[in-house]
Amino acid sequence: MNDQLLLEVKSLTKDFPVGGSLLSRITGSTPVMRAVNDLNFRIHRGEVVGLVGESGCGKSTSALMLLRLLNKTRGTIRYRGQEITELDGAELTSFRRQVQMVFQDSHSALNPRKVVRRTLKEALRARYGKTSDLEDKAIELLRTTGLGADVLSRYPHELSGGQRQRIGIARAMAMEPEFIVADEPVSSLDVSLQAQIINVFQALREKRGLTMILISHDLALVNFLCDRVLVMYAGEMVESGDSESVMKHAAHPYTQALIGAVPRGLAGRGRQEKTLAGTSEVLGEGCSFAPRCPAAMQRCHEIAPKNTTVAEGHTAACHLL
Amino acid sequence: MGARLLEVNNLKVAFPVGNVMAEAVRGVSFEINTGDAVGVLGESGSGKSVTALAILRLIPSTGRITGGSVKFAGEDILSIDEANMRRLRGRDLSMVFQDPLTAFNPALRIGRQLLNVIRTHTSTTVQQARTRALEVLDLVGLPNPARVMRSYPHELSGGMRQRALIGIALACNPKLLIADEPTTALDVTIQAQIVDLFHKLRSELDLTLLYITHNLDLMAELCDRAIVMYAGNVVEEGKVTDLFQAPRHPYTRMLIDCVPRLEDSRNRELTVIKGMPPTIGTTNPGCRFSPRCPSAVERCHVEYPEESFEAQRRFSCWNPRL
Repeated sequence: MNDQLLLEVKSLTKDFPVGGSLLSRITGSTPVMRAVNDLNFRIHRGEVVGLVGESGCGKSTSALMLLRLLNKTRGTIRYRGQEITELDGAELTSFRRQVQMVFQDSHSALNPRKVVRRTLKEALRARYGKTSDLEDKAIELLRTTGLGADVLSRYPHELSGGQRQRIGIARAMAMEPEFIVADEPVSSLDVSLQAQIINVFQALREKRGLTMILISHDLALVNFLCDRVLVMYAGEMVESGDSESVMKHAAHPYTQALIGAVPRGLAGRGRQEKTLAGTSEVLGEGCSFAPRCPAAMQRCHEIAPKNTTVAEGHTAACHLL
Repeated sequence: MGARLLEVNNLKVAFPVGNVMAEAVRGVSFEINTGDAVGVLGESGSGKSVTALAILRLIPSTGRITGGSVKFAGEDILSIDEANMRRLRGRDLSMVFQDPLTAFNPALRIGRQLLNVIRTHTSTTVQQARTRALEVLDLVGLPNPARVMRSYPHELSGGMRQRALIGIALACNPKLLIADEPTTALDVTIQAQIVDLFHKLRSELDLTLLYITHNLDLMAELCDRAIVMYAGNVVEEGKVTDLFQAPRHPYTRMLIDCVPRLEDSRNRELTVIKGMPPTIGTTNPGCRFSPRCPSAVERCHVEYPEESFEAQRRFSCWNPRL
């Protein structure tokens, strides 16, 4: 693996104002909801990193900030050493080309009034300018995602969910990105189609050395595709490490609960594992997971835990460690 | 084993596609005994939800039940009148829908909706109905039932809403509860809570359950027996343990192998089911799965496979797995 640092995130924080008047919003005195709190991580070239957590934990918000599609409140996001919020002009164009996103809902991510040919050619033109072989390039893109030239003249509604999702990936790949953020790319698909998309990502990763953030709540999928996994809870990263290390030796009670919640098939019959009670709520002091944590102690409600190293490259924020 | 509760025989449901009626359910048969938990497994478009709706006689008005019979507790419910059917629905036959937000009336408090169901189906006083309502909300594990009664659906979280919906479905002690993908819209941790709840209800109430899902692993945890549907047909039925350990139909095998699992090694190649399920209205004289089936033989493309029966198992395939 190449060790080149691609993305470095430090103290990334996002507050959303809740309620309050316009004046108080301008003066900054509105109450805020902290969607992402002090996120720190690094991604090297060629790595596939999974971002997991329940809905509302801030994973999509983080992704949008990484793409500069949403302004951060605090912190730094460096891509190839450059703070992305300071990019403009040609540098921004280049960043926009190198970093692409695949959305969860392929139906709303594609323009319903454009046939596939137009969608792909538009992206290709942005990349290569007006050349004559755009059609061939479009067909080549379709091939890498397992589709044929026959879909070129179809509208999004004429395609199945799996086909649409592959168009979404093809469009992202048109830019020859080095970094892709995929937000729940298979969760809206039928099981038989999920494997098709997962294999497309596997192939892109192996053949092109693609760097990727995969946002998902499916731990089995993350374990399958990702080298490393970041676990988020209520806007904070509670555990991170190599997929294998995290899945086999989860240190944080929340990660353990997430893994315990995955249906196990026959192996899970009659299993008496305690499922996590309650739902995620944002609170003040202490560990944000403490109210739901089966192992919470007095200290957990008072002081926020710091990151502790569990194994090499594997950290978790929990007082138990 | 309990008494026969539901008997679906050669059920056919059709919907208009253009100017012809196309079959979404193409002759489905199965039985459920009291106390069973039966899973119905299939992808979207396999006809699993339509089958469930047909049992409740709730298929959308454009659709029609074109053949077959549904016997519930010995009564042919496709031939009874609407008034009697209404009495049955929500009392003896109850359903939990996928999306708890759209299943509720957003303008009425949970309590009102729950009391409506109870008072429609039982001759109780308001006070008795209220006691029962609080009882079921407690049964489904909702903290502070009285507060939930006063809440509007949007004031509850997804998991709480689904619990409340299950509470309504259970309010009149149904003989059969049909759950259509009740956890698909929920987070994994909340999904696990709801599955636990179904486990608890099964052991405490001896609930009879028809559980529709596309999640094999979840179904295997909860159900004893499963029906695998593909494009409107039952392609295999058997005990969950048998289906998982030695599926006979290639489609069942591929469904098991196409999803990544936690214990998988990184380099396992996921089975890919090539192509897509047929759209409604596609006609094909042979097995509907044959265009995607790796073990299809000549006969599969021209003749629909007869059903083969083995001990506690049946499947429709000309070239079954050994």
